[in-house]
Amino acid sequence: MIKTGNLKKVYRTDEVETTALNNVNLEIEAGEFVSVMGPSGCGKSTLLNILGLLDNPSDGTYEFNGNEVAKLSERQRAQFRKGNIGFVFQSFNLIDELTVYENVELPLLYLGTSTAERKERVEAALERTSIIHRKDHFPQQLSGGQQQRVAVARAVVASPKLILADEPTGNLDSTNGEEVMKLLTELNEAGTTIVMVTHSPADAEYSHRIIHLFDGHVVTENYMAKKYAHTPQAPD
Amino acid sequence: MLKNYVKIALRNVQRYKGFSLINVIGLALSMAVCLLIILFIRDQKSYDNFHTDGDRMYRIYADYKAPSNRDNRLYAYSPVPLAEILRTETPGIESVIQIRQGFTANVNHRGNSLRLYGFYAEPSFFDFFSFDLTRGNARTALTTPNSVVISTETATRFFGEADPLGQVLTLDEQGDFTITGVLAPQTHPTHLPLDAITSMATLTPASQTHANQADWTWGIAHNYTYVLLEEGATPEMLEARLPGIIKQHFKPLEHSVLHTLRVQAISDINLATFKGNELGLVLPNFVAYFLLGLASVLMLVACFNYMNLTVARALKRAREVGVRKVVGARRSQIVFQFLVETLLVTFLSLALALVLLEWLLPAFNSLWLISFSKTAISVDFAGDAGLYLVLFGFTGFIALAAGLYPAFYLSRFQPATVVKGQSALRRRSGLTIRRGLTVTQLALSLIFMISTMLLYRQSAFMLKADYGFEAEHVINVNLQGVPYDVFRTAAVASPSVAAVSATSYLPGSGTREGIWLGREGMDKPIKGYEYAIDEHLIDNLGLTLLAGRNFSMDFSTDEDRAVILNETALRDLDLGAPREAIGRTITVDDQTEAEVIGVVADFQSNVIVLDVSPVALTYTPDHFFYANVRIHPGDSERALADLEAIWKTFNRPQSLDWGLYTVQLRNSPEMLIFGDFLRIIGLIAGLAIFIACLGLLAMATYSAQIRTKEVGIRKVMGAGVWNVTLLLSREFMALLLVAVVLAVPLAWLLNNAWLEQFANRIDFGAGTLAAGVAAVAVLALVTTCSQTIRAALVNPVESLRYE
Repeated sequence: MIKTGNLKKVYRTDEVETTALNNVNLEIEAGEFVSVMGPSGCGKSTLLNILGLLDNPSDGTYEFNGNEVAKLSERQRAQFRKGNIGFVFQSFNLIDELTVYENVELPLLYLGTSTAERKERVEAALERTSIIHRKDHFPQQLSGGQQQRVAVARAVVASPKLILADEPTGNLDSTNGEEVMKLLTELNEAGTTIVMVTHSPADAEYSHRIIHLFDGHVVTENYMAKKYAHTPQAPD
Repeated sequence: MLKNYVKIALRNVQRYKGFSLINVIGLALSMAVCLLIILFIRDQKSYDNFHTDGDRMYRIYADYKAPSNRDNRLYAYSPVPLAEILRTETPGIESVIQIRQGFTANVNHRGNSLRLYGFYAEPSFFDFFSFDLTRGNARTALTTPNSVVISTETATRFFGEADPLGQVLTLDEQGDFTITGVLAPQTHPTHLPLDAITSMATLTPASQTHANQADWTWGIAHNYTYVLLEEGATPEMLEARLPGIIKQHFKPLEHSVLHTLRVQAISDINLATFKGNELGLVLPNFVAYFLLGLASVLMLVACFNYMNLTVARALKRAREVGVRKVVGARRSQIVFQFLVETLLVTFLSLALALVLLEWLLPAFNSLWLISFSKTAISVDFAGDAGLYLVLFGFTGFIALAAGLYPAFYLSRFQPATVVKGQSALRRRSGLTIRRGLTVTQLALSLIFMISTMLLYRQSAFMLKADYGFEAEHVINVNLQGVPYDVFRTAAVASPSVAAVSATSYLPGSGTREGIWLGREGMDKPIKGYEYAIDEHLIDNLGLTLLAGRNFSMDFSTDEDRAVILNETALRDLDLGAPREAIGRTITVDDQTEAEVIGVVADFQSNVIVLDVSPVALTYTPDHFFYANVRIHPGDSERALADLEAIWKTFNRPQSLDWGLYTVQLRNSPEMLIFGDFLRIIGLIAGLAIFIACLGLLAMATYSAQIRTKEVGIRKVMGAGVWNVTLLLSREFMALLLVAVVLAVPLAWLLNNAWLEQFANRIDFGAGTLAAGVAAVAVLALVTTCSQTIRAALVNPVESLRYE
């Protein structure tokens, strides 16, 4: 599903040049649950942004479902993201002025989905994340865990093939964090590919594979014990 | 999607009430003023757009050097014989009509007195123009001499419900006129004065005076030519033929050169380039440009406020933009969303602006220029569908003007940056643009403040100006045909009257008669003004006789062949010192020779805005139109009662027409127009400064909010309230300084440009500039410090917890 070749990202200011990613070669198959770990500043979020088509790499190739997407314009990236990629952020990134229902509805609005179908899919997503009872509330009226469940509902409402989660439990207590991880696991079991950036070894254990980054390089890749029947096999 | 945009816009307005209120108030105030000006100009633009075939109707006007001018100027009139030539020799014209000025007179009928403004017209007038008659036959109404068609208003005034047809009206100095028609009430505005229209046949050789109908030189100054082009003919085709007609028929004289004739659409007569001798009251386009310019500047200040505050709040909105982009929004959709939001704010502002407009309208209509020209405007929500187009169109335009930049600015945030959090965005909150907008606002405020101060100073200066004569305690009586000597004899006998003198026009009030003064040996005569006075005026008004003598009954030649000059006339005629001029002979209007018998010190014969002109005082009893009655101080009520009683003894149909000289000097058209300008600019300046202060207040509030953490840390590190206040105010002070550097030279140039038009003007120096800067600086600092001090007083524990 995802294949990167010598992926590189360099940030330049007037005086400083920082290499965030340096020749990252990565392959992720459909249905995988991959965790990306590493110390702060190692390039985890940069990698996630590039994989999520929020940003372009400075160099290298990036194939998404067989399409080369490394050099797409902002407009093309936005078009590609729609319906293909869902995002879950550490800080939830819900729009304060919209209700839970409206926040979840947003991706469908931009997809041009009909009103009736929107209603059906939003309610299904909210049911799936067990937050339907709060659909008319505003984000500020919810706990952190509830907000992250809304964010997950928003990420899945358009049935994307890939969900990118950037420290999804980083702002949550352990109970709420566990609930969110279970939710992501359920989504993965249902066939959605998940790439998650995390600092938490406990959260990483939910995934099939852990990629360790350091100074912009992939330093190790560890395959976890096979938890799920459909999960791709680790190479011998 | 639109519903989602509106919803989020409404919730944003509700959530950030303070900012929204500042935006709405700022936009509403400026929109109210702009709408007022737009409605006024719209009304003015609607003049003469109701005539059938109006799209083929044109007026021919002249680019002409009249005897009273040094250079060519545009005049609304055209030569008398032109009509016949156009009818007989020029192709492409369906019909031609001429009307003629000069039919303006007082009418007294059964105790009702009214001044009528009208004109002479050819019989086909009602075929040509789309004016309907409620009484009379349009085809015959203007065929016979001394027939008159009057307006419904005039008919009602004189005859009430009775039928006016066939009744006779007596016009002062014009004679008796039989009413042959009554115009339907005029619901559409026109440039023609329609109180009364008389037939061209009324004109006799005597009433035409020096304007011979067949004369291509002098005759030009009285007639107005209108043409109806044939279908398919263009005004350009007609205009191309006019130079040939001039060449063939017009014989230029020394003081009379017809440069060219031009063509203008009838609906373009109002709000066109200024032309001399318009028949009715026509507003020149520069008035519209001036008003639109001022309103636009005010609108700009409000739009800057909106842009500034919206861009400043980018930090708060950036995350939303990022999230929308992450979930699939295109940039154009984000731009559209923010435009919808601006549209909502501008429509809220429109609602408030309409309330303010109701309050502004009476004040605007009470301006002298508006009431004098009878161009009062009103807002008719029920019967004017076009009004909605104006309101919505204008609001949409303002939404685009105010909202486009913030929409593009906010929509350009990259989701990858935004989702990282606020710290990544702090350096990108449009600081340069915001600084630019704030500096522009402050600079405009400074220019407005300095200009308004100068206008008020100039106004006060003119009101207290020394005219060079004593107008206090003088009542001027318009003699209206009463012989001056009879009036004087009766008036001086009154115990409340101290002195009485006579004059043809009232010096300093704006009325005057031009003459050409010359002397032997001079190449060209000089332009001057003549006042016919009696032998009492110099003493009565306190003019200073520098040399020679006053007029006297002892000299029989004083009436025809004597003149008293002022110092300026003496200088321009190069007659030497006052004593040397006595006994010299000058020419008046190239014809009459007169001996200089006296010289008076210069006095303000023109209105105060103009310079002192050469003045010739003559003794011409036929021209004693006004009596200057000096009354004993404190006795004005009794004096007026005495004058009323005296007037009644003359048994005239007209009532006593009097005015206090000091009031008349204040109420000259130039002074009244200046007063109008002062009120308009004062209002717009006040609003612009207020809106700019609102913007500053919001910016200071916002600036304090986003620096809460910094303030907390600095206070923990030992900074005091004063240090923090200074820190937060420093940027505003720097911006103010930049604005001062930019605005002061501009204000100096702009204000000197208009001040130079005033012959009598105040000194514009560093004092006013400093006062203007100080006033704006105090306002700006009070506004910003109200927020910075509040931020500085917050307990650092609170600040850090909040962050």
